[in-house]
Parts: sequence; structure tokens; C-alpha cells
Amino acid sequence: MTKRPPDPRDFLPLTPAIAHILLALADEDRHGYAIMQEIERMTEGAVRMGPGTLYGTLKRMLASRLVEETDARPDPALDDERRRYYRATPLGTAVLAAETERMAALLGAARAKRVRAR
Amino acid sequence: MTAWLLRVYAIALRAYPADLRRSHTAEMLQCARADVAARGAAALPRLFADLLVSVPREWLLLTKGVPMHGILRDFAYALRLLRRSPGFSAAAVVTLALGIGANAAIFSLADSTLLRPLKVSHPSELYAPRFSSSYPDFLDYQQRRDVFAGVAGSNGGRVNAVADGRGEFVAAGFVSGNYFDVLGVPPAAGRLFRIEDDDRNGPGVAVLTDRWWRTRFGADPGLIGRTIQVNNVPVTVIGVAAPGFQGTSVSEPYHLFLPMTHTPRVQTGFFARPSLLTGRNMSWVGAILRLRPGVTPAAAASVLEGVYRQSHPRTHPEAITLTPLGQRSLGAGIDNVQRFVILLAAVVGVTLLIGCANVANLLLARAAARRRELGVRLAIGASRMRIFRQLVVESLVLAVMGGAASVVVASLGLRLLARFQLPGGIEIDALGLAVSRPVLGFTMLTACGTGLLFGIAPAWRAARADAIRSLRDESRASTARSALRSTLVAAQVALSLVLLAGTGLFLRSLAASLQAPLGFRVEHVATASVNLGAARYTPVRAREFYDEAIARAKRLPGVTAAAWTSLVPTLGSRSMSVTFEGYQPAPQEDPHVYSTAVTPEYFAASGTRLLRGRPFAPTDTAASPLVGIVNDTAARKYFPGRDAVGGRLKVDEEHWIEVVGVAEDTTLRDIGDAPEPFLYSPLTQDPFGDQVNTLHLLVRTDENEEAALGPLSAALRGIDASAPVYDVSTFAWRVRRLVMPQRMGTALFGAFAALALVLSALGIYAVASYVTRLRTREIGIRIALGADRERIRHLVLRQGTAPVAAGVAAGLAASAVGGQFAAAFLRGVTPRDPLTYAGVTLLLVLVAAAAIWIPARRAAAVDPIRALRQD
Repeated sequence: MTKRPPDPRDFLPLTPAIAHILLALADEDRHGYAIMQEIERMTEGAVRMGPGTLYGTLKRMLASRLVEETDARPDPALDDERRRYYRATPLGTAVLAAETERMAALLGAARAKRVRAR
Repeated sequence: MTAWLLRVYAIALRAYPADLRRSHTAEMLQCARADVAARGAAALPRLFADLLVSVPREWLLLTKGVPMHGILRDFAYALRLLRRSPGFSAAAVVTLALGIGANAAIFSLADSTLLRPLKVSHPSELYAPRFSSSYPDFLDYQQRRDVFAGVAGSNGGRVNAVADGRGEFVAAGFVSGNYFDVLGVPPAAGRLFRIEDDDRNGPGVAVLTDRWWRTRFGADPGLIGRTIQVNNVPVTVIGVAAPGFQGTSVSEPYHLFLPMTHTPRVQTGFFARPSLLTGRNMSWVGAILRLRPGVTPAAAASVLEGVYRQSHPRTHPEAITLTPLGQRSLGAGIDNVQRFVILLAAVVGVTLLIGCANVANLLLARAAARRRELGVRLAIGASRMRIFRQLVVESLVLAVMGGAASVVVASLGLRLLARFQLPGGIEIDALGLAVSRPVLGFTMLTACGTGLLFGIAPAWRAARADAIRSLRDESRASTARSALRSTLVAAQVALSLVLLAGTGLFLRSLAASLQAPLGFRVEHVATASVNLGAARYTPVRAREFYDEAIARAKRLPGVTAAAWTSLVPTLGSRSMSVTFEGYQPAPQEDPHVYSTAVTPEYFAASGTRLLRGRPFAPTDTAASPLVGIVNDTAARKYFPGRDAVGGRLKVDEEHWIEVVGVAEDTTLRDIGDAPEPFLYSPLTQDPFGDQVNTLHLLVRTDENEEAALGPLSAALRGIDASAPVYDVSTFAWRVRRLVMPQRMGTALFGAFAALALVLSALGIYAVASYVTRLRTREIGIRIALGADRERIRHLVLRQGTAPVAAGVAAGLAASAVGGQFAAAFLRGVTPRDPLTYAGVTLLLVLVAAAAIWIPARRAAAVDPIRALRQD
């Protein structure tokens, strides 16, 4: 029996933490602190994720193969310390796409009924 | 401060489940550091808030199948609520932090004295025979591998360790090659002893304790392989033992370890005898036995006895008994240490209970204010279980926040404790207490326990509430609630009274001890100790050193007298049998004196008054007739009805000593002990003839003795920098040991009693004003109907006073019982001292009255119109 590849839709809906991390990794590989900074930048400071939440979530994402570690290297913008970098896997990218699609559908339905954001 | 909090954060990261801790906490710390580097201290609140949320989440996610989603929501909701009422949250968290932190500090102390005094593996398998063995017997014991998993040997002694030309007189453990293996102690650096190191002709080697390696050598890794001098014998440092391990005696922690077989090479006096390692009649080895599984101590003891009988066929020794090594490690004063630590634990436990009562009171008050909210939730269909769970989670969150903050309190508390001593002279500082992992575990357990303790009753009450009634006016349902709160107040008052009574007793005891005549004038005296035997001085050279030291000390500014003595209070004493001329001992009586050898200016330096006769003079030499000075007790006891001066006594068969003076009695060990008969001899005529042993220098100065310590130390080192000069301190510091239990008791009881008093006053005030507020309307009506304002005030006062009176009665009863427990540490005051009890009761009643008076006055001033219009 061959193992069926996981369907991205099995992961939906995403928790806010997973969604934000996948978004932060959508354009480039980042280390933990860079993910924290990117999330804060994307959301204009509305979401500030702490290290505990970040790594707790990352660990589960690693286990379900949404992200993977790349290598450890120093960040030229920070100090000389080596940091582990993370990258979204093809599965992770697909899951983010599926979630975006789901949200878009939701948004479309809401617009059709003229629900407006306050 | 920021760096320090970041350290706390790093420690707190250990709270995550093991899995996450191993894989990612290092990175979390990296992030936290980067964040602090970017934002400064402003980053810290978020870091800690994140910890608070994510630690429970990670643990909850591990428990599969539990409906944790709801609980997580409860957590988030609880955090939001607490943020919304910062005053309440801060009061509760600070109260809990103080209570839990104090408990954590004392737990740390109990952990290293009572629970796990030995930093070794599987301490429960380790036993020690009550008496020491000879070295050959010890080797025989080692052969019984059927019973013992290992037999190690050790013997403590002080040695002069010289490195970089500077000598230090330190405690050394002379241990067998398998010592570290048997105890299961790993190295922190280099290697530890092996069986090969038992070779008595092998190279000189030493292992240091981590503590001494740090304090004396700055944890220099380059020290390994270097040579230091121990009692003038070169030894190579080969390693450092694991942190925390300082031998198996808590009262005399070692600084370094040397091979047991090198004892005759390194030590002086008795231990330098060549027959030390071969004679079966020389008992000096402390055996440490690790029993094989299933072997009982009694069985092991009888095996030892069999082995002993074989090699000592003619002697009939006392039966061999084994005691657990952990018990042995606390030394002779183990009972007092245990009792004292338990007393401290009880004190901090009581303080925490008082704090819990306060927080419970706060929660009850809040529950009252939230009746409407909870009523609405019940009305729209929330289950009672759900409400109950929500409220318990809220108290748990409070408790965990308190627990987290308590780590700060605990580490400050440990710093404070380090300045004290336990009974038996155990320096708490030397225990190396720290906020370790067991302490953190204890803290979190205590926090959760207290959270449940103070949270369940209010939550239960709130969840049982009737939805409809809650939505209606609430003032009528208040009686039952205030009954619970009054009970809490009564309990607080009772517990506070116990602590206050304890403080009072210790204070009176301390005052009595400080006034007790010591027989010394300890002010303005600097002291130093030296052991020239360890530096291999000959008696002649030693004599020159002593004379030169006195000459140099007297050249220091302000010095009026300087003298050597073989005995200072609480340190060492030797007693010997003597014959007094003209004294007929009763049958069974063994006339004896404690003795010390001193130089001529001793009485001027120590301040001990000479009642009659003359002090020693430089003319009392080894060649002149033997003279002695006795104390008052010896004079009365052994020269009844006549003047002791001119009397004679002898310490051996032939030499008579003439008494030339009588000195006042002195306190040597414990204040309140009956004074013992005492004999002073000139050092030049010391009946023990041992002039190259430990001696203490007393220097009396007109100036500040604290300031004289540096110059005194320099003067002694100027004579010989490598001579083992140690314990350069003030005389007052040395005798502090005499009043240490009282001082420590007063300080700690006092601190906690003050805290308890404040907490209780707050509790009393809160309840009185809460009840008053609930009854504002009723009071308004009464006033409107013409009630006298004076009577209203009385009404409130009476209601507030009832729980206080009940608490005082209960507290007095509890103190009378609990006081017995402290009796062993009290001097000059009984545990039921009526004056103390009256005093603390009065204090408590005054504070309570003030706390009730304020709401009572407010009640009397109620404006009836506004009270009726309310709501």
C-alpha cells in the first residue's frame, strides 16, 4: 500500500499562528527572530508573536512537514551568532494557497451579502 | 536589571516540555536576546507574557483527548480579565510572590540540609559505621563485595594550601581512590581519583571542589596540571569535582581532596605517624558503605562485625551500628538543625497561608462584583461546570504569575539567608544555595497548590449561584458570603498572632542573650588564627613567630594589648582530669577542668576580668615554677571556703601548679550553659606542650576593630606570607555564633510577622469595608429613621471585631502549643512568656482596631438621601 500524499485541505482552517508563519516564509527563508519581525511588519504591529508561541507552533509544523530547516548561518544584519533558518515546504506553500482560496471564497460570499468590515 | 531578567527568562525556559526544550529553547533565547537588543527592557513584558501562555499550551497539547481547546480559551480569557483590573491583579500577584518566594528560599535550605544534604547518586544506599576504623580494617571491609557495592574511606583535616605564594588554611578530605566512584560524583574538569592514586608512593595529586576552584582560583582551567603546596608538600591539581559536592559533611565542607594514603606524608602530628596505614589500633578512617540492593543495614553491620572480630580476636568492641550517611552529614547538631529548618518552614508556610486567605478574600469580593456577569452567562446556558472551570483557571493563572514573580523573591531571600548560620555553626553561605531545578519545581507546585487552595471555594460558590437571584439586587445574599470572609479573617488573625508571638519570644531571647555576661569585652577586639604545624614550623621557630606577631600587632595604631590563646569561644575545648590539693572528690566524681594556654596580656586583650591575684607575666617561663589561673567556678567548686589563690593542683602525677589568680567565668559554647571549671596556663608552660598547633591572636585597639583587620592581616603575612593565617575577623563576629539562632529567629520571624500583620490588616479592612458597602442602603434607612450615628459606628465596629476576637483566642492557643517547638532556641525566656503574649495581642488589636475604624467612620457618615437613591 502506498501512502497517499496529504491533501492540503486537511489542514484547514489554519490557526492564526500557522497562517502568519507560512505567510512570513512565503517570500524567503528566515530564522526565528526574522519570522517574528516579519509578522509584526506584515500586520503593522497588530500581531506580535513571542518566541514560545513561535517555536511551539514551528515544532508542530516541522512534524507535519509544512516547513523544514535549511541550514544554520549568521544573519549579516544581526550579530555573528549562527541561526537556524526555516523554509516553507511545497506542502506548506500548497496549504497556504488553499487557505487563501478558502478565505477568498469567504470574503466573496461576505461581499455578495454586502457585509462590510467596520 | 535587564540582563538579570533575561537570565530569569533563560531559567524559566526550562518549564517547557522536555521535547521542545531540547529542540528549540536555545533558539528562543536567541530570539529573546535579539529582541532585547533591539527594543531594550520594553521587550521583556511581552517575552514573559508569551511564556505564561505558551508553557501551559505546550503541556496541554501533550495530553491528548482532553478537551483542551476550552481550557486554552479559559486561559486567554483569564489573562484578558486580569489585565483589565490591574490593581487587583498586582495585589494578588505581589502577595503570592512574597509568600511563595519565601517558601521557595526555605525549601532550598531544607533541600540541602534535610532532604538531600549529599550531592551524590542514590544517597539512600549509603551508610556509615558510627566509629572510625583503622586503615587495614577498612581494606578488609572492601573485600566483602558480596554485601557492599563499594566501600570508600575519608578523613577530614585542615591543611595549609599555598598557591602563588599565598597560604590559606582550608578543610581537606583525605579519601580513598574509589571515593568518587562509590559516591557517584562526576568531575567538572580534569579527572578525579582512581584506584591507582591509592599508591602510597605515587605522585602527589589533589582534586578541588568546584566552589574553591571558583572562589580561590577564579575557575581557571589552566590550574589543572599545576602544582600547589599542601603543608609544604608539592601536589598536582588533577581535576575539579562536580558543582555542589563538598564532601559528605555539611558542617565542615571540604575545599580539596587528597589521597588517603598520602595522609602521613602531608599531615602533621598524630596523622604523620608512619604506622598510620598499618596499625590496626589506630582508628581514623571514616568508612562509607554502599550497600548492595536487598542488603539491610543490620545485615551489613553484622558482616562488618564478623570481619572486625577476625582481625581483633582479643578485643570486645561495642556493637557496630550503621547510620544513613545523609543523617551523619549534618554532624552532632542534627536534631537542632532539623528542628530549626522545620521551624522556618512552618513560619513561611504560615505566611503563605495568610497570603492565600487574603487572595481568597479578594476573589470573593470580585466574585460578588461579577455576580451579574456570571448570572447572565448561566442564564444563557453556560454549564455550572464551565463557570467553575473558568474561575479555577483564573486563580491558577494568578497563582502561576505569582509563582513566576516569586523566583525573584526567592533569589533575594537566598542572598539574605546566606548571611546567617544554622545551629551547630553551619554557614548557610557555604551550602551554596541556589534557585535550582528542584526549587523551581517546588515553586510551581506550590503556586498551583495555592491557586487551587484559594480559588476553589470562591469558584464553587459562584458556580452554585442562582441565575435569577444573581440578576436581581444582590445585597441580601451577602450574609453567607461574609460569614466565609469573616472566617478567613479570623484565621489570618490567628496565624499572625502566632508569628508575632514567635517574634516576640525570639526578640526577648535575643535581648536576654545580648545582656548575658559573656566574660569577654568583645568590642574593639580584632582576631586572627594561625596553624604553624601545618607549615612545618619547629617549636623554636613557632615561638619566634608568636613573639614577632605580638610585637608587630602592638605597633599598629591604637592597639593596647595583644595576646595568643589556644581557645576562643565556640572553637575547640579540651578537658582534663586534675587533682586539687585539699579537695576530696565524691565517689564517682572525676574532678576536671577545661583548659587554655595564653600569653601574658591575654586578660587585657579579651577583657575577661581578673577577680583576684595577678595575671601572667613574661617571667612565667618554661624554667620558672608552674602557675595557673582558675575561673570563679573552679575556685568555688574545688577550693570551697578558702581562697583559691595560693592553692595547688596537678594535671599529671608529679607537677604541682600554683594558682596565682581567679578570673570571672566565660561563655564558651552556648549562652545559658552552666559555666564549667576552667584553668588558664601560660603558653610557655602549656601542660599539653603543643605549641605548634592552632592558636588565636586577640588584639585590643582603641580604634575601630573592623578597620584594624586589614593591617593585622598584613602584619602577620609580613612575617611569613605562606603561614596559614585564617579567620581574620572581629571578636564580635566570632562570638556571634553564640546568639546566632536567636538573631536569625528574630530577623526571620520579624520579617514574616511584619508581612503577616500588614496582610491581616488589609484583610480585616477589606472585609469591614465590604460589609459596610453592602449595607449602605440599610444604614441609610436607619439614619433616615433617626438612628444615632454613634450607634451605627458601634454596630460596624462590633461586627468587625467579632472575627478578630475569635482569631486572637485561636492564635493564643496555637502559640502556646507551637511555642514548645521553638523552646530549644530560646534563652532567658519561657515559650509561654505572658509579657510577650500580652504585648503582641495588644499590638494586633490596635492594628485591627485601626483597620475597622476607617470603614466604621465612613458608615456613620453615610448620607441617607444618597444611600437610598443608589442603584
